[in-house]
Amino acid sequence: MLSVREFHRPKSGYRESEYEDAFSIDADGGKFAVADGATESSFSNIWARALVSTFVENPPPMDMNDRKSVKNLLDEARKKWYEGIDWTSLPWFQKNKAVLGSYSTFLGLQVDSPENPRRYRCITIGDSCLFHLSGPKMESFPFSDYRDLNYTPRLMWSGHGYPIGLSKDVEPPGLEVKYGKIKDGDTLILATDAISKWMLQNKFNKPWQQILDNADNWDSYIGELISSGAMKNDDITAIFISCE
Amino acid sequence: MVYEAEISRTNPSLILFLIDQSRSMSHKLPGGERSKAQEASDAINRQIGDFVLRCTKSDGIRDYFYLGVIGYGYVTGKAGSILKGDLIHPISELAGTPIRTEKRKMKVSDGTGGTIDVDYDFGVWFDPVANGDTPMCKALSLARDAIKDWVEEHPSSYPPILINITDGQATDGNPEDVIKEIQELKTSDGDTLIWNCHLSSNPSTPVSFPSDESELPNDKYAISLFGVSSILPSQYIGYAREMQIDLKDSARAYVFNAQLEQLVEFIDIGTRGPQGQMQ
Repeated sequence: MLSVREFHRPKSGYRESEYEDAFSIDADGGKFAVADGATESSFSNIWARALVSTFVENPPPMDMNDRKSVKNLLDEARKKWYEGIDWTSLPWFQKNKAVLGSYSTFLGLQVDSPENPRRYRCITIGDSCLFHLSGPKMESFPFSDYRDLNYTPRLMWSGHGYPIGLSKDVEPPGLEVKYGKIKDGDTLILATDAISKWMLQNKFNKPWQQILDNADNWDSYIGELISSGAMKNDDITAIFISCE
Repeated sequence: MVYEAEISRTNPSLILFLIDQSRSMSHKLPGGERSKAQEASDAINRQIGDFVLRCTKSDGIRDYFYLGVIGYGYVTGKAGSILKGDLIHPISELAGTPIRTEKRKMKVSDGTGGTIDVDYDFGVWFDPVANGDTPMCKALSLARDAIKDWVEEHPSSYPPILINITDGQATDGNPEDVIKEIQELKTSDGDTLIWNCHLSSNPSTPVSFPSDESELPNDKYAISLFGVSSILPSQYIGYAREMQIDLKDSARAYVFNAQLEQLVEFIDIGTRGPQGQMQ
């Protein structure tokens, strides 16, 4: 059985409606996803939500080729994104930007049937990370050093907005994939970039345990980390999945 | 001086453009098809549009920036805001108040390494004027008063940026004194940045971002404006080098004899710093 806890908050000083990360969870089906919509593009929150919901609602078969899986996700999510925006009612300045499309990182996790040990596949584009805790060991993917999160990440592009729309095909960017196995007692964490960086920076102090210990006052705990400068002021999303 | 303050709605930044509207601005700008007044107006309107674009989010426009445009010489001896209403405007207000939009083409990535042309609306907030003399000191005094109020109200903001575009000598005094007063206006993140762009009246070689008087021609006016232009913070040196501009670490925010290409580059680099600090 997979037991799940989810934490998310917008940047400090921002409203929940301005949160541009996205996440989707199907604990029974073993499907999970997080995405970080790029602030620089408009409608990136809609794009991030389209990616995670498409992945969780229509997951690719575990044995499907990785790139083909992402191409299918991209095609389906683009339709959802495009249909989710009322293009013709936008003011002129929003149209100017919306035609450029939206950008987001993406990380999707599929956990196979409940046999022990369970197999999983994690596909990521960008700088959201997967952490695998097993006994005293911690593995992180795709980064193991927090300094690797200082660079501009790869992003999934929605393709153009109106008036070009879906008429042109879009290829997925480069992706990274990890296959692994979890056993009872293990924990998997999906996290967007700011909290991933903080966890990697503090990995010898079990930062994941600090989050769980402060689960009841998560929002103020993260707020204090941000105001002290320990964590970047960014949208924060983390999904903790425990295998029991 | 760090120039690293994050720019947000609660800690916005101020950009002021000053534009010479004297009669000589009706002359053609070398490198372009049109007059100096038209090219300079186009460059500033484009930049306002770019700020609008950058501040546009799914839920509307966020006021990361406040902008103003001060014209001088539109009538002999006069200087003042050439945008409708107040001198300083939040970017959301500007988004809703262009005097018109024009259909133009822009190149956008096609996702496969090529580009395609797309129609877009080019915002126009003011039209070019080339009419009177060059009351630059009067315009700078207006800018000084606005910046003084701004830094008092926003003491920890990204420092204000003043970009002055002119093709001639001030006709109402020596601008050095008032520019020095503006340079003393600062926030905890740095001094106000003063950028001076001297438009060309002839096709001779422009001098972009000089670091020493010896790089300039023997022109009293050029030496004067060079001396009161800000030394570029390191971030801006980096932006200029990314654009393949050869400059020294002590370069100043000044261009002498700018043609169209230098004018566009100058405004682009001058506004890149704050755009990179948007939260």
